[in-house]
Amino acid sequence: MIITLAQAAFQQPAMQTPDTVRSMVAGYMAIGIVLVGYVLYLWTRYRKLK
Amino acid sequence: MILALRRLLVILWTLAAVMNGVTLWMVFSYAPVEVTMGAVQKIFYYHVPSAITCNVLLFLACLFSGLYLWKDDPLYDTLAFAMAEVGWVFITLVMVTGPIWGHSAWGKWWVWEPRLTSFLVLWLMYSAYFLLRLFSRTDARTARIAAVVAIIAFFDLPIIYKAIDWWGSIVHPKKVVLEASMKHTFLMALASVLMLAAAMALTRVNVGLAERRQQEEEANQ
Repeated sequence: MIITLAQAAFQQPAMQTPDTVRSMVAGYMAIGIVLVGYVLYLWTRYRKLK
Repeated sequence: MILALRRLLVILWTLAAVMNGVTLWMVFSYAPVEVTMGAVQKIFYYHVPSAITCNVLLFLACLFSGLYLWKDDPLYDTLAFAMAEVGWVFITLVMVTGPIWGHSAWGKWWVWEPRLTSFLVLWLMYSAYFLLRLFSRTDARTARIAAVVAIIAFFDLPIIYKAIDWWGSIVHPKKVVLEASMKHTFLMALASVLMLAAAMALTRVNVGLAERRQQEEEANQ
């Protein structure tokens, strides 16, 4: 996933101006942080109960 | 029962991981770059499915809250709390990705238009639900008040859905037309986000049930 995002960030044909690519990478990083963060939080709660 | 639940969790998490991997490949390699917005439009493939997923989870939270008020069974409260918590994660996802997309596409982080404002109200109402649950005692009275809050908050969803028809919008289109490869990617993204939500919700239910068991054991000692 990181490699794909990095590839997308460095490919800049016609409509992929640096700003839109940066925003896309920022968006997917935000999605990753929210989802992975919550899954880790759930996992921690689950482990505490065992 | 517990073993079957664990096996189901493993299956759901594996499916969610594989499906999201395929979705990411489709988003970055299969779906074309949109002509007017450029690469940032690819946020759409997680932004819209997250919004649809939070609708499903909040409907379930409302349903279980209603059942809890009716039957007074703590199991329904645990289910409602789990659905509301995972639903809140997806509302947050929409709230975070929206402004990033909006800043690139419209030149503004936030616009006070009906759909965005009513969605912010939804996020605030479910945040209030968590503050209520976090800072109150874990008793039946708190659970009943939380159930009422969850039911009231749910009625914001039809307002969000109809906001564009009722008040119009300068940024959200009434209808989105997608070309074939974009439509395939969107449907795959929707299925994988729903699968991820199912895995998260069932894990959260499992945690909620274990916590309740632990509280009951402590109370009996």
